Amino acid sequence: MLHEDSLQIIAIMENVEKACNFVVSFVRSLGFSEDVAHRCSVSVDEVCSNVIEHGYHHNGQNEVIDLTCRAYEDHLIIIIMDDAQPFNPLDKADPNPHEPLEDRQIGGWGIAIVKKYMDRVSYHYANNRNQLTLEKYH
Amino acid sequence: MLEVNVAGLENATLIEVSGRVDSMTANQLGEALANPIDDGHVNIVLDLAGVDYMSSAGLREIIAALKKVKRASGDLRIAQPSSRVMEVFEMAGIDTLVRIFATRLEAVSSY
Repeated sequence: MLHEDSLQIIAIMENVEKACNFVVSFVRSLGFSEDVAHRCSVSVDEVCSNVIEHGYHHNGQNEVIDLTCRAYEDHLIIIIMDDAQPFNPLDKADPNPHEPLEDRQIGGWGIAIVKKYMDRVSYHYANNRNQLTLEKYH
Repeated sequence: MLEVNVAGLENATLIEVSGRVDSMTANQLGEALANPIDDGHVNIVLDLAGVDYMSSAGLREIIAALKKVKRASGDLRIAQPSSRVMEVFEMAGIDTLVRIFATRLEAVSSY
């Protein structure tokens, strides 16, 4: 590993952009393209807002989300950890983009976007924490 | 914050949005779409020329508005999405549900 940086935010929506900006700064400092920085930012927005909405039920004023970014020779990883109930967002099937409008739920695209934007996404539950790891290669 | 401009035209309502549509701001997009629809203006053009950042929260608002206008026999048409926004639309199949135009004039004239 070449470099590591971490950030802890209080788990409220107002702080999601702070988490995105932290990751964008990290990604830019490694010389990744603006497009990769954008994809990482949207992915962090999706994961953190999911945790705040579904993990902490918009009641996370006394809860935290921890982000750790790590740089390697050929890739970077972003680890997002929370203390909500164990929940693997990757268990849920992606929505069907061909579904007719009348049959569609209005939401559900967040993790699908993360999976499209990142090269690898994995979930672990360890030390009583949800841990989602996003990987992006050069 | 999003910047939102709404203009009532002869055949449609033009909603121009600029900024970052994310988990924090998407509700502003939702309100901008819902207000004219609730007032009975159900032919909408959403001009996204000023939007380069769209998360799933933005998709949710667009799909919700689309359902609403269709139920009222109206339509939601989109003008000038950026390539980043278009990529998200294509992933979610929005491009098969909504007519998308390269220019605002084409979108407005389509009604």
